[in-house]
Amino acid sequence: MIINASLPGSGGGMKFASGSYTGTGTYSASSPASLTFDFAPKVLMVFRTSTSTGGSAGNLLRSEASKCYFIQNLDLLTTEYVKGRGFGAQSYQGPFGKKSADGKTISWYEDNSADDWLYNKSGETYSYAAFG
Amino acid sequence: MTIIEIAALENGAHRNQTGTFATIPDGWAVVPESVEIPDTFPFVIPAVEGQVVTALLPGVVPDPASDPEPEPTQLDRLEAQIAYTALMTDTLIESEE
Repeated sequence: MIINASLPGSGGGMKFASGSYTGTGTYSASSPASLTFDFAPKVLMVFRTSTSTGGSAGNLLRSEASKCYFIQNLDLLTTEYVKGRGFGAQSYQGPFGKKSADGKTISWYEDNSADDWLYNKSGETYSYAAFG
Repeated sequence: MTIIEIAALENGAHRNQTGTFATIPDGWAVVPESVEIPDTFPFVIPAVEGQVVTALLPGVVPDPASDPEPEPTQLDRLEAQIAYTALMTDTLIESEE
């Protein structure tokens, strides 16, 4: 879903997109997870919506309790990977995040294949909401 | 609508995204609702015409237990070399247990 809403004083108006994706199970910088948008979002929120690995899927408090990065201010991302700017559990392996030069594609990865909390676990369903 | 990246990742999965898109990114294709999505998704083999998927065949879901052994580190190699040298020179330190 995309909503284009004009907000007072916002100039070009606000854009919103939501949707979902299924995790591919890949990790590492060579095969990152990614989401692509028709606009360059300012904020992106991702959370798990399936429960094959247990836990309380779709609950943002659960994500917070697990020390997961599930919402990012994309203005802080660069075109190079930066630790702590991806989506998944906080660890020394990441998650690393970056955006494309046009800001429309957000990519992230973690150097830990055993981590179930990278938001790209094989077969898991994740939902997202983006604001720009 | 659901879109998938036409090229597979190294493990056979395809990046995918469901939402509303004004334009389809290069290298991606739309999966029409008429195309059945196999249970193995996103491990699928797509048939694509232009930027439209015409069929999705089931792919092979990798077994996590079959992940390849990691390459030995320099420290692993050094320890192996030391153990081998100790065995060959009969200088291996025996355990006190």
